[in-house]
Amino acid sequence: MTNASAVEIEKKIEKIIYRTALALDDNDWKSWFDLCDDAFFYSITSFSPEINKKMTYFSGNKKELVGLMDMLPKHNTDHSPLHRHTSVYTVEVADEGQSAKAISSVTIYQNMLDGINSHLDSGESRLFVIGKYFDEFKIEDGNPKFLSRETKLDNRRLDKGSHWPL
Amino acid sequence: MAPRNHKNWLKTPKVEYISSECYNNYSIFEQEIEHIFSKVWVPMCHISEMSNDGDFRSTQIANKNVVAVNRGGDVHVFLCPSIDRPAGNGLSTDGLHELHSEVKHGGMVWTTLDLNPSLSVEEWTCGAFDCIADAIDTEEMEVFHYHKAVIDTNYKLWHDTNSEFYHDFMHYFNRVSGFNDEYFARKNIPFDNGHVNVSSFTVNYEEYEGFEDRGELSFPNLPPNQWYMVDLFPGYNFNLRGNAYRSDIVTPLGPNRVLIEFRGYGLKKDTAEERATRVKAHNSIWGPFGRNLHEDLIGVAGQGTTMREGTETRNILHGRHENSTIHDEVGMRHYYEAWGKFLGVNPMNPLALLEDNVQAAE
Amino acid sequence: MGQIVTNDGQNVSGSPKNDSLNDTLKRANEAFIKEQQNIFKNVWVPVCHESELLNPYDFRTSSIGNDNIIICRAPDGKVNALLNVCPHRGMLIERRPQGSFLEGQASGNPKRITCMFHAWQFDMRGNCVYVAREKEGYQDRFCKDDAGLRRLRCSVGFGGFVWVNMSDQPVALLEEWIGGALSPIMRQISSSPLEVVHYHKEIIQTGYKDEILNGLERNAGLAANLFFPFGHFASHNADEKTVPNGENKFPAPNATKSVKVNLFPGYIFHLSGPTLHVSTITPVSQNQVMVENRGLAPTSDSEQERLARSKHYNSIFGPFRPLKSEGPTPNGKPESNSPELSKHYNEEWVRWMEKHYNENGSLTNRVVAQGQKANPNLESEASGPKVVVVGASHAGIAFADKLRKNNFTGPIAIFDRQVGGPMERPPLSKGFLLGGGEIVESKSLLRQKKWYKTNKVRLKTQSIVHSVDTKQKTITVNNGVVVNYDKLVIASGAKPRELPDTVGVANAFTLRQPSDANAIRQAANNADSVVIIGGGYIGLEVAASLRKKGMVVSVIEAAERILARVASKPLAEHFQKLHEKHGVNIFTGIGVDKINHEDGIFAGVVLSDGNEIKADMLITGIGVFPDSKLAADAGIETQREDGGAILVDEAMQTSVKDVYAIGDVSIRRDQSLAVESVHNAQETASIAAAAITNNALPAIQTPWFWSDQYDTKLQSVGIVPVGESDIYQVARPGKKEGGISFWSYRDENLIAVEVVNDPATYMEARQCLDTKQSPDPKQISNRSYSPIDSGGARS
Repeated sequence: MTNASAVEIEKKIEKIIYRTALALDDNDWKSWFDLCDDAFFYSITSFSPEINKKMTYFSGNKKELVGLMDMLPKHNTDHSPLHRHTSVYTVEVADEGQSAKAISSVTIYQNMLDGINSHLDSGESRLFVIGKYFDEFKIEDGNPKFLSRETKLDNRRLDKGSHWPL
Repeated sequence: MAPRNHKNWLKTPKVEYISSECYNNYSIFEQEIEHIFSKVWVPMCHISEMSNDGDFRSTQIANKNVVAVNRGGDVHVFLCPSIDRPAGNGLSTDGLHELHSEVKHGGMVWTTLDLNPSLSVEEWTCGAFDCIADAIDTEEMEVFHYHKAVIDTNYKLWHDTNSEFYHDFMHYFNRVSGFNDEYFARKNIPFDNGHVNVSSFTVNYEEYEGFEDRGELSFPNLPPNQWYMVDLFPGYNFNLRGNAYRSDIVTPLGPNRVLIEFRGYGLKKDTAEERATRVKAHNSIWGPFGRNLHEDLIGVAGQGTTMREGTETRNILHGRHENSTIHDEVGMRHYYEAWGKFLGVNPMNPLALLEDNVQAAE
Repeated sequence: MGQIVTNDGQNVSGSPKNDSLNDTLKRANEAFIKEQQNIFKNVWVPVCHESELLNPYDFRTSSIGNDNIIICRAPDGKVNALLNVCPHRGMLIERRPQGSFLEGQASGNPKRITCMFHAWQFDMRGNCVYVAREKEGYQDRFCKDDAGLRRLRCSVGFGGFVWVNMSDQPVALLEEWIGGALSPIMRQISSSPLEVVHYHKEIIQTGYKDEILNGLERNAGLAANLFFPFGHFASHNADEKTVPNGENKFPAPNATKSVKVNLFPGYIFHLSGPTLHVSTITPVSQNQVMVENRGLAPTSDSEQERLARSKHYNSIFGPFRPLKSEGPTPNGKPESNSPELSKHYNEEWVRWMEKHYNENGSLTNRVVAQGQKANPNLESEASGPKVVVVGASHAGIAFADKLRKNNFTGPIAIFDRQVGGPMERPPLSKGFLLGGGEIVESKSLLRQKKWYKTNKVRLKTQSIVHSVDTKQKTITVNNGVVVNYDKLVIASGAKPRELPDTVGVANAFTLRQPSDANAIRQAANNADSVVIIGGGYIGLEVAASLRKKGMVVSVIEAAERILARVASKPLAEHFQKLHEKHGVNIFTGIGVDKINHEDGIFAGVVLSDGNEIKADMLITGIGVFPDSKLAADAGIETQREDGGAILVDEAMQTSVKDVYAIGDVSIRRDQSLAVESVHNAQETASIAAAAITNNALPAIQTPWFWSDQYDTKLQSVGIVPVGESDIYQVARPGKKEGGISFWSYRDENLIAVEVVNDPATYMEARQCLDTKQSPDPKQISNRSYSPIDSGGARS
């Protein structure tokens, strides 16, 4: 692997992380899944000083996620849009360019729509959660695809929570 | 029928009801803090949260800071004016006033602000836990999940939701997986002191794509895919569903604001794989990103919105009768009977009587 | 809350509570809540614009005074307002700010308003159409028929705004409430359909009242102020008159005029050049208010016009306007440079809050003092008028007039609960109903403004007299202000009787006040058919007016004939034929068993024979009862302990010295039958005026009365004793075609005459009765026989 191609892959990985943020912001689950390998595994985790344990708040493979997202219209959901501010901190390409890991910071705002008392709240932006993305990629023909994403939250107070992946 | 004008809207309902004042009046809230939360046994945390000598775990009960400390394997609970951490190790308890405490019912740490409690924990819960005792007291458990929510609603509205399954119409999973003969055969069983539990039925997990059958990892002595619920007065819920056990505990912050702490439990002996299965089962329904909890919380937040302070008093119906089975609102009726006794008020018109009481006291 | 104390008395509480701080916060919160109850839940609130819910099933949510509401458009296009609260367990039914119910929600079906919690479903009118497992859970104890939503008063108008009033009995109809306040911009905002093109909201850290009063400083450039009832006011360009009419007015894209209308308690319509800016307040807490800002433009705008308007709008009202001149002002005392505007607003505020203060007796004095301070005019009243009249009725006004004509020089004040100047009542059931406008015209005012000035009569409208203290000789008005009197004249009139089943039913009316007539007129503009219960004069006059509008009219009279209480049989037959000829369906000798309504809107009646008459609106005209509560509460003698007319002597004095009662509210002790008529009002007014000015009491005139139906004019003089069998009538042909009169006799004595379309004969009949002459009953049917001076003088 040449240095040039590693840089190229890094750029592609940055791009795919940002494209994912845009797709998730739009609740465009399909575009997100298109960026994921079939073996993709997603989880939301946090560490609780209260019980002194690392916790998993949510997890699922690609098939499960697709099923859950398809089922969303049948659920009663808070539709207040979530918007991510993501900065890619590190990208590490390994395995001769066959795989990579990236760490990004993420801050998610909720733009209130129908959550509580919309006459007052709708249109207001609130900080929803903060944390980091720990992503792993599989790279084929120079093109990265998500193998896994762990969304490590700082928050343990999550109030109404969400039906949407973060 | 026809929409109602103001007079008809406020008409006394033909079925059982309580007044929304129970949920949003500040004086009632103050009375609850004084006469209920300062008196009852509160399951403040789980023993596994303080497993090492010197570990402590703090909380607030009725606006008082309380800390539970592991001292040589024994739990002691103290009033602690200045505690500022949720958990840690090495807190000096010198000079702190010790409260009564017990470890009971699956390793929960119970305490009460009542300096001379007339009942033990077992006497207080008076059999409500019997249905799941074999499952939660056979093996040592530990907490694997903790998160909390602060919701602008009354704590009792949250407990109401826990006390009835009629709201399963809100949960798609429950609508498709339950609602069979077995589901409707489940009964609400009232216990003294306002507690209720709901007996088991078998959950059909295969009805909802993506949810695995939970038979293989059931809790000890629990037949596969069974579901039990214990609703403890005044706002503590214990829920055993196949291979996942959870609790939620309320701390009222005001008439229209409540802190709810959610915990998930596994067996200490779980292998990593077993634990992962339990965690997933727990999260799919009850996690902050699960299907049902989000809906339940939207529900009570909505009630909190319409019943915030200053809203017009209205009638809240508790009048469903289905032979005490799953969509019967008997659980709430039982609860408010006990609640009314604690405060010396009639939940249908709590303020009228409350004022009488105040006058009588003066 | 109790502290934790150990057995040895040591306080071991974790965090001691600051009681005084908590109590202060609690009190502030309670005051805020009271304000919500007293003001915001009783006023008309412009919650949104009709363009925000264009299509059937579209909805918008909002809140008024802490209560959440849904505004939705029904399939028939009508806009309805409903409380956004599920009748089951109080869940907020719709959480979104805006959307369509055409799509089903997760727990419910399309075209339904679904409560997600337990899947109860409602239609666009608030009918409950589905209760999950209804029979299983409620058996026969409760069903969806018991689970309708709470419907709110809702009107669309004044530039297409949706107005909601949380009270079922608002103090005024929307049109009365706004009165003339929007008139400075009414033509502009009504000339073409508008739509909301800009929306943003701000939460400002100040109380709503301070926000409004601070905002008045910004009226500085708008020097000319206009004041309206209910605390509304308008400010406009001082140089408005110099600007030629025409193109430069909104909605013209190059408009320049600026007018700002403040509707109490905080809804501002600001026409600024080519844009209309409407801001509405929603108090959030004692020190927090949400302001919603809407910009409106004509739907017909071209893209370029819209852009130009938008630019203008943003520069003045937008969230990023260059100088945030309208932005939040820091907490503190508002220092308005428009003290008159502040005063006008504050006076109204005090008036609304008075109810609250009365509930807390201990505060009353303090607030009365504040109220007096805020309103120096009221202060002068405390030492003020010596003759006080309660009720600007026909009797009340006639009394004041007579008093002045009797050279009375002391002050006269009239207090009346109605909005606006006192009106002639008789036209209300007649020609008035045929008009098409939205506002009650001023042409039928009892007296023009000038009369009050010339005669030095102070008229205080919107003033409810709460109590009379006959010992202290004082009355208590609206905001706790106490007014003393030397002579008190109660002229509070009568109230129409209602059928209990019609109370709260939309499109069901009685007719007494101008506001009633206005409401009937508006409803009639959107109705094809009407049922009128009661075949008395009011009922028949309304029947004639509405029939003229082309409506299908059915009159139901329980007695065997129409006009059974007030007219002779031959006259009643004459009028029955007249109405039938005009196509009115008259049902006599039959009762009403049931009032049908759909969605709370009148739908028809079921008669005692089981037949049903469907109709769009209902008018009940079954008589009136004297409005004598004020007197009865003050210990003044009335016919019965629980009410009835106030008993008066021949000088109209009540059982209490210096308190008189006149008009429909009074009855002389020697009088058996109450007569409600203009004549009675005028006569009793004259008597009381004479008594108070120590003049000889005028002779009692023969009562007279008139009625207009179609092109027929009835004039009657004397009272026909309809229940007495020894009375008989003789018909006399009129002097012109179509004229006829019915002469009622007992033996040879003339008792009363009813004249149709024959004024000359009426004058003769009146002369006969006034001079106690009885023309020969055998000859009176002969047109050539003159009833006057015919030698029939009675003993």
